Amino acid sequence: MARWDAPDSFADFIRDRHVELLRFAYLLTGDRHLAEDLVQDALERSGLAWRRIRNQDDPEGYVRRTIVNRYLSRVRSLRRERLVAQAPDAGYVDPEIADGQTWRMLATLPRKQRAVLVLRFYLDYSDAQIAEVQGCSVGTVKSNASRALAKLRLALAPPDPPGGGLVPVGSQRTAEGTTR
Amino acid sequence: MNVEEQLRRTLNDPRHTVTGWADPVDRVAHGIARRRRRRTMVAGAAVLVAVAAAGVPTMWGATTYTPPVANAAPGPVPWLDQPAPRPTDLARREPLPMADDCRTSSLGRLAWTETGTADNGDPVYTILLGNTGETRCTLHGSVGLRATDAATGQRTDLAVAHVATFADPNGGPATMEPGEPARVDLRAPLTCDGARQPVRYRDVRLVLADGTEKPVSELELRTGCQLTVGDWYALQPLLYADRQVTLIYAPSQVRRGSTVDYVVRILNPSDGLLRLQPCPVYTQRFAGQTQSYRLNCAVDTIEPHRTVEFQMRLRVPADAPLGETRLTWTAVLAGGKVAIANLGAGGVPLTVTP
Repeated sequence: MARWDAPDSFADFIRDRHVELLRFAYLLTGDRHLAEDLVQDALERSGLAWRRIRNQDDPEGYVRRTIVNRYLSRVRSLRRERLVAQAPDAGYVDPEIADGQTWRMLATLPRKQRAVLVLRFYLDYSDAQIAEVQGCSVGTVKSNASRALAKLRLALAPPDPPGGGLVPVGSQRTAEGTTR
Repeated sequence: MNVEEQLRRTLNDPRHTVTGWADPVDRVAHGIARRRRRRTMVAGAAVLVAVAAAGVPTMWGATTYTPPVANAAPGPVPWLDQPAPRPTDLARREPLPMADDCRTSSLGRLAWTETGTADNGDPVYTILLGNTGETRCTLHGSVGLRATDAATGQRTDLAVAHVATFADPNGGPATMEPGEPARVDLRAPLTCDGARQPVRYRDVRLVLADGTEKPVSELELRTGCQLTVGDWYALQPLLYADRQVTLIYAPSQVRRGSTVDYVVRILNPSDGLLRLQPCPVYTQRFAGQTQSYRLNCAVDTIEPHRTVEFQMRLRVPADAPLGETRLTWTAVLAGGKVAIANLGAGGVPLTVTP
């Protein structure tokens, strides 16, 4: 197979940033295998257009956008088998983490809602930036964030006190979340 | 601690750090080289198709398209409104002899599914896993399943009952050439005696004999009954009919609820006669619908290096999903061998509009 030689700047970018991109993709998907596929796919696409991308202010932002978009449209993209250079021989079991329940509840959210939360609370993106990444309106971002947070609040709230449905004033749980 | 703070802490937990790749630049460079090679092959194939279809205009009609005829009988053979049962007796390659056991590293990283229905209406998921190695290999036995309970987010090993196989007993174990998939059938009954509250599972993974997991793309299960899984088996590839190249010429856009005429052109590139006897049955698939008809065999032979066009008719369902889809066309010729139109591209793309 004809070899493709990465330009130096692209090779440096991959070496410096691929671990962080893998982490971002893992937070987005909750699945290490899928995260690796997404990052590999995004880097390959970026490599093919590297001359154009590196002239932009934020090549990493471009790669992250590609990761998010491919993740949100993975119904189409992952129907095809994709070959990669290195296939793992052994399965991987995610270790349990401190906030296991929050992590598990994240996994129950629809992809768009989860992506909004990761972009907002991991990358500290503004709603406008998230809207740009996802290709939707700011209103849609707010609505997705609101729904996602409401679900998490309901799920993570402490159980009702035993002995009846009386809840102290000011501590009622609500299905409606608030946005930042 | 409120939810926002919990989220920040969870997402920034250092234990989410992912191990980097050993040689990331080489890994990405390999992938890019592969992409470029694929692009070159696609471009080459496009040129070949263009040469084969020389003289075909690029402008499609709104709902009906009749290509100009090059070296063909005058006008397409009219469509024949004669539905036929879907052909089942298809010629397939002889099963391969058993080979060395497949190594996990020579199997695809991702499995995928084809959905069918059992005689009793229960969904049957055929899970396919490809041989991505460079040599023929055999998969034996069955698989376990691991999935996430969608309600709780908890990973769990699914309890599955094992049956020898649902498929043709000659199909197993699964010996595959490189690039071919092995299959395993999974049944998730909708109803059963003593059914429990249905549970929805997502992120389903196959657990292979050595404990390795393989994610199954886009498979969600919902059942309150016992899951049943069969053995690995191989569905042998169809045998393609000689002396034909078959292409579809269809409008690029079709309207919901409309009837669309299109043309299938069969070229005989050989020096021998192509016989359409017995008269073939063809199947067109579009937007999730499968329709089978008998070909109009007013023309039942195609001379060497000649082309015959057949008018086809497609009824677009009123509830067809909007957007891009594909039209495929397959005819079964003598001896159960198949002619598949636009074989390399898997049919032609069509866009369904309101």
